[in-house]
Amino acid sequence: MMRSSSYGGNKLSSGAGDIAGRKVLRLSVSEIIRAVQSDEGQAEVFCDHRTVDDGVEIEIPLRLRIGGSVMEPESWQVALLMHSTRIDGIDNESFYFDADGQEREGWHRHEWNRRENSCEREKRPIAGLDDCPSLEIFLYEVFRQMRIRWNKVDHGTLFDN
Amino acid sequence: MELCSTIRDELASYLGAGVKVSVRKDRCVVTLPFTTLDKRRVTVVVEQHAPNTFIVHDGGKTSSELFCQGVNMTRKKEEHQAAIAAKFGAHITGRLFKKYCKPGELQDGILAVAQSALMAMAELIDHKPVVEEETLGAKVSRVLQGWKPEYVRAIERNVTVDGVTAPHSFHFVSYPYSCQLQHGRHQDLEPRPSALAGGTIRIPGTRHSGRSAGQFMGAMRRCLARQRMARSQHRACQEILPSNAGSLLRA
Repeated sequence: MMRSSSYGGNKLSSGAGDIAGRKVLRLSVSEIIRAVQSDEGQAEVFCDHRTVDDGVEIEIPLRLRIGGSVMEPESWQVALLMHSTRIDGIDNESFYFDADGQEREGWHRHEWNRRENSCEREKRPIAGLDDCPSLEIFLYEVFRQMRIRWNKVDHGTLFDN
Repeated sequence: MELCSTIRDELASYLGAGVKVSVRKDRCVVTLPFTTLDKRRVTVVVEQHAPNTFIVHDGGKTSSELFCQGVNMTRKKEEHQAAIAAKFGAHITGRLFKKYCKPGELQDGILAVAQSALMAMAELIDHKPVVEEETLGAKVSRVLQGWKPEYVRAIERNVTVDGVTAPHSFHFVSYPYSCQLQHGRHQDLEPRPSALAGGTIRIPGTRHSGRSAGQFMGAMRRCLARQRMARSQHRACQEILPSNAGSLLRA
């Protein structure tokens, strides 16, 4: 698996202790796509996120994981992990119950539930991802919704362990 | 017994109601009333491979879910999943649980792939959060911020500057108040999984030198010493390096 080092967090998050603020990746979307394609649909990108916890500025290592088979758009998904636990993500299921208990299908976002300390059950349907013609367009839309900024400059993939 | 037949009928109708089949492009997506450990319904894709052959697979969903929920697949885990698939007569290709079926074997194939996917999600039971330490860059950043003397206006992290042919990125850049002091640039303090592994620390007024990440603390100390020397030569700067700078670096 190609693991792409990336650093971000030049801007502080908008709220104290929250991850909902802007995350910054130092990789371009093209580099991420090459990583996904080179490893049968999985890529991991690191970014450091600055936030404030109990009045102390800290930097949290976050991992952005992109999973799924390149040829199967329904299996594409993106997750933001902290301490190996998903804290945010976008996913597709052909059948699920949303946060209000309604039967749904399709793309949804896993939102963090502070009471449960989990994002596995808090699923909110999202629009704009149906019939994405390519993984690139899918990632642009997902990053926009998850407030993830990427590097516009594609420096090419130098390393491929 | 009447009770047994009632149970049978009710179970059959329950299972039947839980099965959903939808059409996506040229294939069928079957959702079964079986729930995985992460409370998802198992989904199986059926597509025609040849006139008399179908491929049944999980669409890569199982692998994708495990990956995105933080499970790191080791070789042992992959072998375990392959063994699960083999027990059900399926196999894993390109991270897909897959089975080739003849038309009369489709039901068996769908159940085999679904059961493989269900069992593969058992990896989530052992999955526990792993608290990750702050990265090396974050620690160095804190040390530099603690050290920052008055003549330094700011020390910024992850700065990209335009070069003649390509942009250059620096992990740390210190901006002095006085334009007569040079900017300090510290580049590539962390190891990279590459042929060019080993950090490079650039110190103003010196040639570039490639160093391993393990040596970077020593290089940082030398960098501080050079800056101290530069400062002492500069009349505008009155203050001296804080006496606790060494302990900050060792922290």
